[in-house]
Amino acid sequence: MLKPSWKALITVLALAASLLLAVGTARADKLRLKDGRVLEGTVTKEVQGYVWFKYQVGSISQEDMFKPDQILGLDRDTAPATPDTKAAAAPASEKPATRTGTGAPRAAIISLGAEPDKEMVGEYITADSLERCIPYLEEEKIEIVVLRINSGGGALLEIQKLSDCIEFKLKPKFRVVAWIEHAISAAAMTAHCCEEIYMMPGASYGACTGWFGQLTAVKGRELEEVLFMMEKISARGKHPKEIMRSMQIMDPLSCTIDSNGDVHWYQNLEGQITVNPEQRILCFNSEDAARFKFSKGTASTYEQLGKAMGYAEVDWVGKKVPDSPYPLCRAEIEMRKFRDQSFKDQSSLREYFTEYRLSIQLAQGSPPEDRGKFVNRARQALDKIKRMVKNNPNWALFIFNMLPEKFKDWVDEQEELLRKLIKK
Amino acid sequence: MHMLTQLKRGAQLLAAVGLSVLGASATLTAGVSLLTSGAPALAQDATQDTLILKNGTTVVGKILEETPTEVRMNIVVAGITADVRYPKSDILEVVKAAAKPDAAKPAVASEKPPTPAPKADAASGKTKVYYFELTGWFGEDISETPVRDAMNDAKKVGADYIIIKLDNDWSLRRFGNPDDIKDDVGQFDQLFRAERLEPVFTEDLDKWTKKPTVIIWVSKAMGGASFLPFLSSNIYFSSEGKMGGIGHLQAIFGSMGDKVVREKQFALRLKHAEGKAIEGGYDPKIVRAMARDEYVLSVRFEGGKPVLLERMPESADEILLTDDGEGANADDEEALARGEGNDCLTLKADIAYKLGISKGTADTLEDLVYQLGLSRTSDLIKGPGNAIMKAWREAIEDAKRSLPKLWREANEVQVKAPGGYNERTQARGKRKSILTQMQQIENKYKEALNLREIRVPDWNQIETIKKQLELEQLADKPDKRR
Repeated sequence: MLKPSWKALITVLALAASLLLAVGTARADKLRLKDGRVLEGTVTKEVQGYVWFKYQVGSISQEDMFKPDQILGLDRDTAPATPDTKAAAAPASEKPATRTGTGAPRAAIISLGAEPDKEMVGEYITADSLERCIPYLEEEKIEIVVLRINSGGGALLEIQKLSDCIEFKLKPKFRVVAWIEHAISAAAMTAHCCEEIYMMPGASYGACTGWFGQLTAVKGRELEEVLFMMEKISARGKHPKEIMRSMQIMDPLSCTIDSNGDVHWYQNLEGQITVNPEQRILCFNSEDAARFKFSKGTASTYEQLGKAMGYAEVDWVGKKVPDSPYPLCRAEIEMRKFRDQSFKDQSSLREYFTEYRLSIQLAQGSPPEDRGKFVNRARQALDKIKRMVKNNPNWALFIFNMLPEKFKDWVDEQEELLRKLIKK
Repeated sequence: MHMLTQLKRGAQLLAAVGLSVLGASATLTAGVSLLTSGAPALAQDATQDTLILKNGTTVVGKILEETPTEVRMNIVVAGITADVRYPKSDILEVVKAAAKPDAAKPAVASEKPPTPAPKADAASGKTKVYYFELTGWFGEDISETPVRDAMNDAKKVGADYIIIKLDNDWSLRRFGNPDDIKDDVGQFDQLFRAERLEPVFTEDLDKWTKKPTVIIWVSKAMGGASFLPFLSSNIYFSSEGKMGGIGHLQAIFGSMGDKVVREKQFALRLKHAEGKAIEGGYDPKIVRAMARDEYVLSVRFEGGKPVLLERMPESADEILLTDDGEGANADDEEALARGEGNDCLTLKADIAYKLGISKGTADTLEDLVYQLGLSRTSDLIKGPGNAIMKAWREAIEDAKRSLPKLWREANEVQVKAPGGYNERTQARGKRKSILTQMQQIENKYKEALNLREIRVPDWNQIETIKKQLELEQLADKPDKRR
C-alpha cells in the first residue's frame, strides 16, 4: 500500500498527465449551421457571436467566418475557444482588449487615403505606415479595425505589401473591415483581401486595369502575373475571382441569384443578370455591390456601420473633433501626420534640393574659412531629405528612383562630401 | 445613437403595456419587431405601407422617409405610436400603400418624399427662407469658399429653408466668343471639381443644430454644375431650365492608348458620378444616360411612377430617353440645334418632373415659394448670400489681374545706385516681399485660380525662388573699403 505522500504525488502526476493529454488531444468543436451543414473543427476566434471556424474540406484546411444568423448552435469539445495560435503566442499586452464595462467591442477607424491630394497607393497609402499603426491599436485595446478607404489608385507594386500587412499582421489580431468611400484600381486591390467590405452610399469600387504613360495597358507576362496575384488576394477576401478579373480586363461577368439569395458567378453572359457586359471594365457602385452581395452593406456614418456589422453598440475609440466625421484614435492621428508630412515633403522637394545644391556650389566656390555657413545650410537641407525618406520609405523609389539601401549609400556619399568641404 | 434612443423608448412603452419587444437579431435596430408576426403577408392592408423583413416578419405603418440605406416608418402598436428605422439590408420588400389617383395632376413621378412642411420660427412664428444665386463660371465664381460662407450666413440667421438658384455661365464669353457652349458638349471631368463643393451640402449641414431644407432651383446646371443638384433631395426647375453637359464620356480620350485603359477611365468616372446620384436618392441610370452615348434608356409610367428600362421602347406606352447614338441613331444637326438630341440625356423641366427628379417648375422666386407652401408663413432673406458670391467673383478677377502684375514687378526689381551691398540687400528684400504678397493671394484663392492660365509660378515655386534669394544673401558680403 502506498504511503499517503506517494499517493498524493501520483494523484498530482496523474492530474498533470491528463491535463497534458487534454492539451495535446485534437479539439473537435461542432458548428451547426442553419443551412443544414455540421462542421467539425476548431473555433479560432469569437467576437460578439461571430465565429471564426477552422475545418477540413477534403484534405484542405479552411477557415471561415460565420455570422450569428447563420449559426444554429456550437458544441464545444473542451474549454471555450482559445485565441488563434498567433495571438496565443504573443505576449499578453498584444492580445485583444478586455471589454469596457458596456460590453461593447472597441473599434477604431484608420483612413487610407484622403482625396484629392493625399490618396495615392504607394505614396500616401503604404504598408509601412499601416504597420506602424499596430502598436497604437494594441495600446488602445482595439478589437475591430475599420479601414476607411478613399483613393483613386496608385502603384501596383505596393498592393502585395499592403495585402500581406492586412492578412498577416492585422487580421490575426483584429477583426478587419473595409469601409469604402472610393476605392479605385490599386485601392480596390488593396481592400480586396478584406472579407468584410462595406460601402458608403456614394462609393465606387473597381476599375483595376493596370496602365502607364499615355493610357498604355500592362500586357503580356506582367499582366498575367498581376491577374494571378489578384486571384490569390481574392481568395484571401473570399471573393469570387471572376469579379476582380472583370475589374482588370474586359472579361464579361454575369450572375444568377438563386431562391436562397446565393449569388452564382459566371465569367461570361450566361447568368441571368449581366454585371459587366463585353468590352467594359467593371466598377461597382454601392447599390450594385449590395445587390450582388459583394458588400456586406451600405453605411454613410460610423454609427450605421456598427449596426450594419451586427452590433447593437460599438465603443468607437478616439477623440471627436469638429472637422472629422469619425473619432480619431491614436493610430489615425499618426496616419494623418504621416500623410501631412509626406505631402509637405513632396510639395517642398524642389525647395529642399535647390537649397542643398546651391549651398554645395556656394561652399565649393568659397575659401575654406567661409564654407562653414554654406555647409550648415547644405546639411540642414540634407537632413530634410533624410527625414522625408524616414517618414515615407517609398519616396526613395518613387522620387529618387533608388531602392532604400541605395538611398542610404547616396546619403553616406553626401555626408562624406560635406565632411570634406569643411576640412581645412 | 438617436436611432437607438428612439427604439429603446419604443421598447419601454411596449413593455409598459405588457407587450414584449421581439428582436430579429442580436441588434435592437435590425428589426425591433414592434410588429405583426408570422410569414410575409400575402394580402397587405392596401391603405398602409408594408415592410417585409428578411426574417419573415412584416411591419405595417406609414413610411416617413426612404434613403439609400434605411427606411423610417411610423407604426402603431396597441395604440402607441413609434418611429422606427429599418436598415435596407434587413428588408426583403417595400410595399407602398395603393396610390389614390389625382385627376388634377398629370401622371408624374416623384418617388421622393415631399419637401418637408414649413417650420415656424419661435420668435416671429414665421419660417425663415434664405435665398441666394450661384452664377458665373463653375469652379471659379461658383466655388466652395463663398458657397460655404453664404451657407454659414444662412446658419447664423437660423434659416429653415435655403433656396439656391443655380445658373452657371455656359457661354464662351470668357474666350472672347458671344455664343453659348452647345448642350451636347461634354465636360464630365468637372465632376472632380464639383466634389470639392460636396461637403458644403452634406457634411457641413450635418453640423447644424436644426438642419435646413435645401432646395436647388435649376436654371442652368451644365457641365460640372450638373452634379450639384444631385446633392439635394429637393430640385426644382425653371421652365427653360436644363441640367446636363456631361455627355460623350466615351470620347474624352479620343483614340489615345489602349481601349481597356480607356474603359477603365470611363468606368471609374461613371461610378463616381453615379455615387452622387445614389447619395441624393436618385436612380444612377439617369447619370449613365447623361454621360455615355451608347447607353439606351427608356421609361414607362406605372401608377404615375417612372420605371426606367435599359432598352429601346417595346410598346406605345414606353418613351425613349436616349438611344445608342450609332449609325442612323446618331443625332443630326437639326435635332441638336433644336435641343432634341437623344444620344445623351439633358434634363429639361418637363422630363425632369416626369422622371421624379424635379418636384416642380417655377419661373419666379415668388412662384417657387408658393409651391413650397411658404408664401404666407415665411420671411424671405435675400441679399447677404448674393453679396458674398459677388465679393468673391470680384476678388477672383482682381487676383487674376494682380498676380501677373506682381510677378512682373518682382522680375523688374533693380539694384539702386551705387549698387553696393546695402542696395543689393534692399533689392533682394523688395523682391522677397513682392513674392510673399503673391503667395498670400494664391493661398487665399487657390481653389479657384488656374495659375498656369495666368502664367505665374505657384506657391512652391515661389518658395524655391525665395530660398535662392536667401542663399544669395548669405553668399553676399559688404564691399571692401578702398
